Order: sequence, then C-alpha cells, then structure tokens
Amino acid sequence: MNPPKLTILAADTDAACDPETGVCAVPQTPIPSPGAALVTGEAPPGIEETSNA
Amino acid sequence: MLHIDIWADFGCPACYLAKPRIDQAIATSGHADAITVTYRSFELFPDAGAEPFDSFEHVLHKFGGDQAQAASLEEHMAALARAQGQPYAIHHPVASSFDAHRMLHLAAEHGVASEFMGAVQRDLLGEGVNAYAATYLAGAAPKAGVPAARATALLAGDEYADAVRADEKLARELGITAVPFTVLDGRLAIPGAATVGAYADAITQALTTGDSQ
Repeated sequence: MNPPKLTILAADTDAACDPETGVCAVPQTPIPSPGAALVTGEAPPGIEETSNA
Repeated sequence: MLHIDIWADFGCPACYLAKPRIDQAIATSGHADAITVTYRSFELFPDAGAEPFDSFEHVLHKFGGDQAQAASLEEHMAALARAQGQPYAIHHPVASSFDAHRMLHLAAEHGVASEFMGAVQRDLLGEGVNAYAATYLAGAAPKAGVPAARATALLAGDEYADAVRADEKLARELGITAVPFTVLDGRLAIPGAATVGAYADAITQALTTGDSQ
C-alpha cells in the first residue's frame, strides 16, 4: 500500500529535532549540516506545501 | 472523528515543547471527545547504545567545539520550555530509546501513551534523569497506568519491537526526517513544534474539510 500524500501546513514553528544534524534547531540558528533544511518547514520531496492561513 | 498521529522521540526537546501545545489545542478545540491521538515511534539516535552520553557534549561536538554557539542554542531551547512552564536540563542523557518506544506502545494498549510520553519527557529533558534505563522504565510505566507485571515482561523480551520498526518505516515512507511531525486525518501535516494557535487552526481545518468533517 502506498503511503498517503501529505499536505504540509505552513504553520509557525520554533523548533524541530533532526537526526541528520543531531541537534534540535530553532529558526535563525546556523546548523553545521545541510540536513537541517527541514527545520524551517521546507517540504520533503514529494510532499505538497500549502498555507493554512 | 479526527485522528492525529504524532511522530516523536522522548529525548527530543522540540517534541517536549510541542506536546503541551498540542494537548492545549485539542482541549480547547471544543471537539476533544472526537479527537484521538497516536504517538508514533521515531528514534533521533537510532545508533545509540544503552550507555548514555551527555546531550550538551553532543551538541558541542556538532558545533565543532564552539561553546558559545552550543550554549546559545541550548539556552534558547531552555527559554522556550521555561516560558511555557516546563523545566529544561541543558545536560540530559542520550541513549537508545528503543525500549522506551516499545513501552510507549504498551502504554498505548492501556490507553495511557500520552501520560507515559509526558512523564518520560519531563523526567528526561526537564530533570536530566536517565529515562532510557530499564529500571526507570519499569517504574515509570506503572506510574502512567501500565500494569507493572506487563511492563516488567516487556523489558525482558522484545514485545512491540515490530511496532516500533513499523512506525519508523512509515515515517521514512512519508518522508519524515525530523520530529515532532504531526499528521491530522492522515493528510494534513505540521513538521516541527508549532504554536498552540497553529495546531488549533490545523484541527479546525481537518475537522471542516475532508472525510472528518
């Protein structure tokens, strides 16, 4: 069974923990790894991004 | 009815921040009785062993030994927690959370997953307790409402190991690479720790659109 397609809501977030970077990042905090991109809410490949505003 | 899936780890400060916000958004939605929540397993440190290491030392290493930058990040996380009434231990242990996740599934079987998640997060991230240890889990689970004998039996075997791996497999299939990651009605997703208002808006959106309306 294929996983469902998710719609990413553009919500205000202030933190996320990413095993790729190994740290819990907050916006505007420089992270020494490109894997930290998702902490800003960037949608992963194949996931649609939209606003719920 | 609205179902919410939350991928999280116990040692994830952002998940610790998110939990009371989600709880509050649900409680004040006016539809709390129609909302169910499943906590799904996600290991931030899948290669970690049973022997804990210090979280701050890990962050410091990730920042190349830059003490000021590591301290700034952790102090900011602590400030966010304290601002919403949660203690935060900048130095807390990190180890394999696999057994804790197995226990989370057992807690869910008894309808107390939220209580167990909240208690472990508070002890681990708020107080710096080694909440990964079997001795801790054997005591924490009954406090949350899991029968003590069942908790002890789980720790002696591999019960719910497949369920933990299934949650992580689904996370990979969904493209989830960071936690917390909240999915409402299987279709609307919020990555990261959002505000209470954002979770509330998402609940409203999920309840007024799609199959759960």
